[in-house]
Amino acid sequence: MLLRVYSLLVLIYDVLSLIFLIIKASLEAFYHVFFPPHQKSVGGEIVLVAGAGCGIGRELAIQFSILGATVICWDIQAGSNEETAIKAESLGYGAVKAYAYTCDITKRDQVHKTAQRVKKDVGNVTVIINCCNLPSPRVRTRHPAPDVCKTLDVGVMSHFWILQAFLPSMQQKKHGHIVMLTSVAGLAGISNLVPLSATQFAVQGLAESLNEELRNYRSSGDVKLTLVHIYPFIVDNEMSTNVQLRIPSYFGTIEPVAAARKIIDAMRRDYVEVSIPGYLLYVGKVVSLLPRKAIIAMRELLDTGVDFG
Amino acid sequence: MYIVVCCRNNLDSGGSMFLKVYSITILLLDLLSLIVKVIFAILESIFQTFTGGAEKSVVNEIVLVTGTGHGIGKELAHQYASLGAIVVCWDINQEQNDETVQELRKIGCKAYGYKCDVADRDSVLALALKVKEEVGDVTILVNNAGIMPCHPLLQHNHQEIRKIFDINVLAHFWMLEAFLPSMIQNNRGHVVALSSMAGVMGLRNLVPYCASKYAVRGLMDALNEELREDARQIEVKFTSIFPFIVDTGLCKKPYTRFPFLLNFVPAKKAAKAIITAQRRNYSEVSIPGILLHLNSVLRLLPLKAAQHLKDFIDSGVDSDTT
Repeated sequence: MLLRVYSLLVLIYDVLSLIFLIIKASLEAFYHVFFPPHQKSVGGEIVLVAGAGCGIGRELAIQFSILGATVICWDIQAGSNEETAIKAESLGYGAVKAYAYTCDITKRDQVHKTAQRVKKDVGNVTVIINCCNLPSPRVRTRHPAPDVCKTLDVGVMSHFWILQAFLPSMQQKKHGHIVMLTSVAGLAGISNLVPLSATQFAVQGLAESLNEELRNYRSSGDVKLTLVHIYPFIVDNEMSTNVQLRIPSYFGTIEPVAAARKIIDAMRRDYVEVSIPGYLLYVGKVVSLLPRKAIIAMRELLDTGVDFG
Repeated sequence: MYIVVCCRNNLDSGGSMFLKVYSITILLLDLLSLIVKVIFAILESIFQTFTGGAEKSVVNEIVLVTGTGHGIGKELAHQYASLGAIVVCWDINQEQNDETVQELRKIGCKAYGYKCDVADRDSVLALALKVKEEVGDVTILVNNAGIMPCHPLLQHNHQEIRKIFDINVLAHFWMLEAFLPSMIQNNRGHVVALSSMAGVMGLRNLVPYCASKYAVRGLMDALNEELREDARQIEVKFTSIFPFIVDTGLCKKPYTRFPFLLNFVPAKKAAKAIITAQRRNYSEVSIPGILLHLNSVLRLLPLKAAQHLKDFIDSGVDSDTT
């Protein structure tokens, strides 16, 4: 009897504190709409950019270096990767260095070996960004289209190998940041639409569940996570003049510089999930309340291709 | 209808003015028809929630279920059999599968059992030809087989992570490769994929599993979209199922704080819900039905608020290695 009364009291306390916390969180969120959280510094961080050879990876490497971080560039192609490292170091703030390593992130043992080299040469990585799973002009024009296994290896499995290599030290030091990128841009009308869609959704699932694991019942943990949905198709100027593309994405195109800037901004403010452009995340949430037939009617009008729930 | 906007450089000013008015009129008509369609869809959906809807017959349909050795797969096989379907059972465990087939034959069902590792593309394709020969064209495919290791991400070894994706995601691709072409050719068929509520929200101790179940959701959505946009007007249906924790022993240590609000689902009930959803041509169904809609609503809350609520409800899985 006493136990029942006690559990009831605990329950009432929990409910009351839940209501209080929800109100507090809502007020905080409302406040942040007008006064966004300040940007934390990334000076002194060791940032790993996978896919730094070109496009958005390169821009991220350069911009992180300008902000004072030590950048580790990974790419499967040595030449462009080393170029990125040189450029990043030359534009970098103060005496920051940039390092280039050639690595195929779909091969787990390569990831581990290279990670060990990085740890020896540079130190413990504190920020990781994997850019390799984004649809890009490279992906669209590849002949033949990569098969299912390859698409999943590049898009999803690579995240796991990188996390397994670097997350332990981040958790030990209770300091770190994982940035994951997804994109539905240009998904409509390509031959491997279904595998690409599966990988983009998988990355979102990975991010959401990893965030749950990292925060461990507190609303934020020591290792942070940021998931960025990039709606426009990332095309840099060199690509668009050489390749004739029909861009089916309603959201148009964005240059890597602009996209990288927004990603770094979101990461520095410790946002957990953002979209580029920002409002689309909320539009998506509202739209997903509608019944399926309504959503299909909207898609037909906008021709956006696949989107998230 | 698509909005056509032409380059203005080649037109004289009179023509470009007309084009502008024309484009705006088309846009307004498109928006108007969209609003009508949306309202109609909402009303239809509310109506269906209360009245259910007609369930199409599965008599003499050739239903192929993967993972029929135990759990949801076994229940599905039994219930499809009792509805008059021809059931083809695939499982990696020969003994358990044979048992299921025997039970089905006892109740008078035409049942066929085959041993198969759905992660192995070559055996899937080879076995599919065998099934086509011995039984016929599969008209209802249920991708149910899956594994669910529960521990923190860093305690998963890499072979396990590979295996999760091989069985939970890649197998779907091989099965589709094997059976979808004949469905498209015959212009009839139904593909049911078992995802999970872990494919709709993130959960602790299930990072690779969540990623795999989200992937199933993504592949079914894209497939649906691809076939819907196909000019051939293909009549193949797709259904994705998102069950909450089902009591099949697949996950070892589930927990829930308020069983009266959110309880584990018995396998029989889950199978019934799946078959009902398939027979009603629903595209996405959670078990219990309200969870999917609840999730959409809760995503409107600020993230921290939703996290507090999740912590309060306190439901999920514990690590099975501690």
